[in-house]
Amino acid sequence: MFAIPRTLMGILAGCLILAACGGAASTEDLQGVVIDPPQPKPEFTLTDTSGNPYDFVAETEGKLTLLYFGYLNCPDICPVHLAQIAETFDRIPDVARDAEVVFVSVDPERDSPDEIRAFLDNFDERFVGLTGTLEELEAAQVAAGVPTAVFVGEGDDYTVNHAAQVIAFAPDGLSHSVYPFGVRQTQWNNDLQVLAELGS
Amino acid sequence: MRSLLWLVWLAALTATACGGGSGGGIDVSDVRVAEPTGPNAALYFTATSDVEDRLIGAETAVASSAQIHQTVVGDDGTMGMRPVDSLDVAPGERLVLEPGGLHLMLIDAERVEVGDDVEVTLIWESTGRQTVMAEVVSPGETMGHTDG
Repeated sequence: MFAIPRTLMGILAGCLILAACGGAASTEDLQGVVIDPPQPKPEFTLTDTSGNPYDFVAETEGKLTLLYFGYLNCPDICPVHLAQIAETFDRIPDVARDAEVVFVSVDPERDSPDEIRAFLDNFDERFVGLTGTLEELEAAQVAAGVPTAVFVGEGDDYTVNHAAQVIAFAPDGLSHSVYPFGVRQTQWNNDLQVLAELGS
Repeated sequence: MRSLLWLVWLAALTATACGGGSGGGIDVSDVRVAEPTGPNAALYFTATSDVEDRLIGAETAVASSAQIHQTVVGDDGTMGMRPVDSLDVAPGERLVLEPGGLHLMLIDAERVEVGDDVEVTLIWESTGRQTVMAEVVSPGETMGHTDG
């Protein structure tokens, strides 16, 4: 007599568990370059565009965080990354609301805090801009595990060879993936939503 | 005769609208410049040619100068830029300037905005000067992404 209702209840319970687990984000869903094992956040403190100290680990705690090292005279790579992220955020405002994008200028000679602020405002006024001394910036790059920037050429026209990947940290505080240059907008759109769910 | 003239006029109008340009057998298309976000801006295009020639420079009123640059990947994974003297075109080949590769770097670019059209003169070694129109697009759009 109770066999059928029990079976039904069992099926229902199974469906509920599947529904609960099926929506969980997994690093397997990421389309960027997956970091295995995930890496902790680099510890560094630099100066934001208002002149205040910015402790990277403390300021980004619990947030989906994107970290990128670049410079303002870079017309080809840096703006593309930042524009893609900004445009993706426009499409997923719920994710963007709790996310932090941190752009570190590795060219303190040319990039003043005001210029960094104006540069970032082209994309999204919420993006954080950081600067520091050459030594501080080099230490931050080493901590983040990226090659340190190299200055090529002389005079005002020098260029800067710098790490081209964006490092993504999920709300769990770990870097699960990086995004080299050439990432498509669809990948950003997918991965930022997946990352936002990891450890949140 | 009148219909023929109409066709010629329509063809000319279409060529102008497409923003490309043809200079002595060199066809330049998909000309776009990233909206400047810093002192410089990058300009991209694709060129095909019926003749062998060489791009040796470029000029535009919206920048103090235009340099041919190539983005290169270093042994350590860093990316940087280096100037390039010239770019060759030849029949049957496509010269593609795109993000992460070749571009014209517009130095001290004016604050042109998305949707603006910018006149650019390409200077070819044999063909001479070729004026094309570049559309200003968001830096994110320069990749030519399509994701609906």
